[in-house]
Amino acid sequence: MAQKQEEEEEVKKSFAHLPYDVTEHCLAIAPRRHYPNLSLASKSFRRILRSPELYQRRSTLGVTEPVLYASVGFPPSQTPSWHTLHRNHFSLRLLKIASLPSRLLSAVATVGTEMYVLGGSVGGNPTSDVNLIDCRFHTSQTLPRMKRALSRAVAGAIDGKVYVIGGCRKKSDDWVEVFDVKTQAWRDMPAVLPRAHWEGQFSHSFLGPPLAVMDGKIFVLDPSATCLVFDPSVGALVEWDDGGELMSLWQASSCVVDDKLYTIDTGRSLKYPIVVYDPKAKVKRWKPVYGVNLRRDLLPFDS
Amino acid sequence: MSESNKKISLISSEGEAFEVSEAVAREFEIVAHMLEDGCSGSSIPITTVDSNILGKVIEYCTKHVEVGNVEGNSEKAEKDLEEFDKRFIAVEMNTLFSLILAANYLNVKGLLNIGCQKVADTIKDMKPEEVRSIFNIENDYTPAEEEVVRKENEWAFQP
Repeated sequence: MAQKQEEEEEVKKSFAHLPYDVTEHCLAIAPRRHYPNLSLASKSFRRILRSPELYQRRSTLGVTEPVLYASVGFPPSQTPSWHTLHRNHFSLRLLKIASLPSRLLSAVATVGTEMYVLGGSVGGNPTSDVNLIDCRFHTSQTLPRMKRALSRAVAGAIDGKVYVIGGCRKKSDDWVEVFDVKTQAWRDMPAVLPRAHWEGQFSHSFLGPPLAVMDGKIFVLDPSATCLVFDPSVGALVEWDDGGELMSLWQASSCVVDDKLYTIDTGRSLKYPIVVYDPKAKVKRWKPVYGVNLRRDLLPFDS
Repeated sequence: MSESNKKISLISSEGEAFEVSEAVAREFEIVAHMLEDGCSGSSIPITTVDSNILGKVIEYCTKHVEVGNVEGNSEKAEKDLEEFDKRFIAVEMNTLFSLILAANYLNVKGLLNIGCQKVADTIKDMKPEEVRSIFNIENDYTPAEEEVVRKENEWAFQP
């Protein structure tokens, strides 16, 4: 009997017995908001949770989660800081991430799990500083400076390049800069500019200018409420032909999914709560998104 | 289709034989590969899995093969299977780990997936000490090291 008992104890399994690959799988499919707590369990947990491979796996398994980041501040008394929308057992709230760099009036572009923070205002003066934030591990690094100090610029990432438009007095030859993610270098981009007579800075009141990257182009509203589109393949910032229609329902909370712009149409001008704009469609019109019931689909914030 | 009537014996670590149809045995990818490599023997030793766990894995595979063979009404069948999986994996931790290890070794993907999902569902919302105790692992952090990890994730530990 004594021997039997010994055998039973021997087969007692623990998490530590699982092969690395399986442990990684278990952690990869756990929701990301639990990672900070889980990394306190043991060194091997932390090692896995801090590895790029884990995020690669989440991507392969199709379990990536969108995470909202917001730079929030109340100038002039409080400079902005990055916050993330975080859910725990009790609440859903914005938590401040003090370790990440944030500047007033900076432009931001996202590439995968990284955010580029470009220029902005420091002590009332524009800066050419660029920081790269890794949203997986909440770390940041300094990147090569832009050629010019910019604030109130707009930025968008297309095909491994980050384009920064405006943010300084408009000149003909150096109003767009492009950062090549692979070579880590900035260069000016010759670009045809629109005739608009403004100083060259985009409105950053409250939420920044409406900006959308769709179909390999950057769409932005300029302060005179003209819809501009920048096409890097042509190197031109021009007025969007159907700007009037696009602007009619475009707002700061609109968002791009799969190259289409979605927005909540509170006025129900098309009788449906959510409408979509496809810049590639033959007839460029806002169209209703059928089958959405805001009361049913939008309310639950359960875990 | 005549092949599906063929029986294969899977031998557990204790030497106990479990007779299953070839279709069920093929759910173990490791066995499927053996059969494809021309291993024609009708009994296959599974030396690292004991009778208790092997029996369970066979139960899982049998159910999945059965449901896979039913034609029509796939939505209901899928729902039933989901229910079955849920009940099947509701086991205590030691058995769960043994099932995952067996599924990993035998390469039964479906079972491995629901096993890992169960682990993930169990650990989320747990405090680190609970995770350690339920998974039978040691806290290998020194207080200073733990402080570093807390600092790293300071944003998440705000009151």
